[in-house]
Amino acid sequence: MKTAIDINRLSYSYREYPVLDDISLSVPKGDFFIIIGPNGSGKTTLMKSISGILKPENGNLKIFDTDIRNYSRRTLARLTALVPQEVPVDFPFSVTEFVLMGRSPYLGMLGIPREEDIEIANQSIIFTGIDHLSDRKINQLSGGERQRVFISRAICQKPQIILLDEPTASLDLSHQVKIMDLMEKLKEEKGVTVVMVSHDINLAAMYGDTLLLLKDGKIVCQGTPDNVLTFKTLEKAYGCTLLVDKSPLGNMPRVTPVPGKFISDKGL
Amino acid sequence: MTNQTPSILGRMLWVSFLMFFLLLIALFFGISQGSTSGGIKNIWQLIFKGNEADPVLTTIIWQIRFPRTLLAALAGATLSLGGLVFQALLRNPLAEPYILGISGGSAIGAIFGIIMGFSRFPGVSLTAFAGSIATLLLLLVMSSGRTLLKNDSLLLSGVMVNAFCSAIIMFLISMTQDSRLHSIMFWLMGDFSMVDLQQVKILGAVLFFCFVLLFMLSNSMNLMLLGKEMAQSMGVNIKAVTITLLIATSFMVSATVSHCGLLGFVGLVIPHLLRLIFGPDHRVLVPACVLGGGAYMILCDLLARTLSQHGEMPVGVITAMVGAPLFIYLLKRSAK
Repeated sequence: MKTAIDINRLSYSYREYPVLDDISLSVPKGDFFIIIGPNGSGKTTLMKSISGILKPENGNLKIFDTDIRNYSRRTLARLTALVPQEVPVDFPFSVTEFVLMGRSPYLGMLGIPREEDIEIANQSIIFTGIDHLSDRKINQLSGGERQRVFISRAICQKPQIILLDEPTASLDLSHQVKIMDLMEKLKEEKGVTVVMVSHDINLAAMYGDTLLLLKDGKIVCQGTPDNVLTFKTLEKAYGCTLLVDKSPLGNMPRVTPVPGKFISDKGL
Repeated sequence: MTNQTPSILGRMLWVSFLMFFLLLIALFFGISQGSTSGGIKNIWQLIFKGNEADPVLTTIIWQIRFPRTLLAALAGATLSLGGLVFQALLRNPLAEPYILGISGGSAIGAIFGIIMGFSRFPGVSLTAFAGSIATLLLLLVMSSGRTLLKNDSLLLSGVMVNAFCSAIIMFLISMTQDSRLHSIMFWLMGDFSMVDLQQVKILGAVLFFCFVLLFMLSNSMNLMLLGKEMAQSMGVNIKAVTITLLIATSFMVSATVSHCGLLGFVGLVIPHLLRLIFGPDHRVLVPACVLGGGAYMILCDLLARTLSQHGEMPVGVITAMVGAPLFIYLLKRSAK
């Protein structure tokens, strides 16, 4: 299988403080790849490197077998689309206008859309199930609705790889599942490679094909959810007591953080 | 599904057409009204039929009012567009060349040029440009990029830069002892009267180039509203676009300041008004600001010329009287 992303010995430091330290990984095309790890482990930095926002200091980062430094911004924007953690939405664009901006890497300087671009935007609006919102202003939407609009814009960019930085953070359970289902659908139906940073280990276990566990800028473990989400690796990464068992939904691990009061009593 | 909303190209065209029409009306009033008025009908005939009935009026209109009105239009266009660009770039609704101190810096440069006895173009324009770039750098260093996005720190930086600029301006003025003093003071408050058609033509050509350049970057400005990361991931070269925007804007603002003095708050009033009416898309707003800002300034100048019974008042008085209350209102609203 072709590799979508190939990283070889990547390092990145911020003012002498290493944020990413000797990272090597490869993401096969069509993979659902989820990056997990405690706060400050370098997840977002890794994401920014893959999306071309940060230039790698040491090591190589290849997107579809070409070094990322050899891509122009526009070409890269046709291959990868990013859904960042925070998007300022203080300007009242309509949902349709906003989604259409995703066509920019394909358009001229003024970004005047052609007939086919409007069609693509409409398709991605329907694909993400936000057609009932298309005339609303983005600054008037709820967090969950807004996240789907951002994803719709990224899909409108027609990327081969979609990068999402904690897309389910601060969403309610129903929206979390909706977003994850949507990504699975994108992967299954369009063959898009999904790379996601997530704080939610259980969502990662249920949806991810490959997980990457980071701590202090280093890879602790990578592989299938079964391999990565073990008591040993998780305790090493998070430094707290966790209970790992089988999910009642099927053959995938379930992780439960253990509150302090249970530990002191039973001497776990 | 969404095809009822008119396409962006259509919207750009009809908004531009509408604003152009407004500008023409303002131009007509700007030319026809004044202390010597021959009645609208006479002037209509004079302008459009070349009726030479009244040679005095003809001279007043073509030699005095016409260049003056054009200069007002250019100044309004530049300052409105400057406000629009700074608001998008700094992601701050209160950003404006005058409030940021960019105009003040240009004024220092311009006064320096005047005192040194340079010609208005290109000498004074260049010293004004140097002044604006210097204040811009000062601002960026002072607020080190990120904090500039916050309202209060931006305002504080701007207030301090402005205070500093005023001090230097007063210093420069008190160091010169000659008759140019009065004209400098009057020019500081905004003045369109010291101009001939030749200067306006040069200024117009230079500014037109900036307008086109900024219009070409209007879609990038849209994308940059969504944040740096998002814009980059959609193929915008943030660094190149930001630098081009800053230099082009400072350049056109300084060119305007060196010809017309300090005109405050225009860059606040017009972009906000137009954004309210036409929405946030810069591809629509850039031409609308150029044309609408021009029309607005012509009307302000008309008021400045005709309101006072004894001579005229500086047009900066009018723009500040309209703009400062709006600024306070916006500040209060964004603080919520």
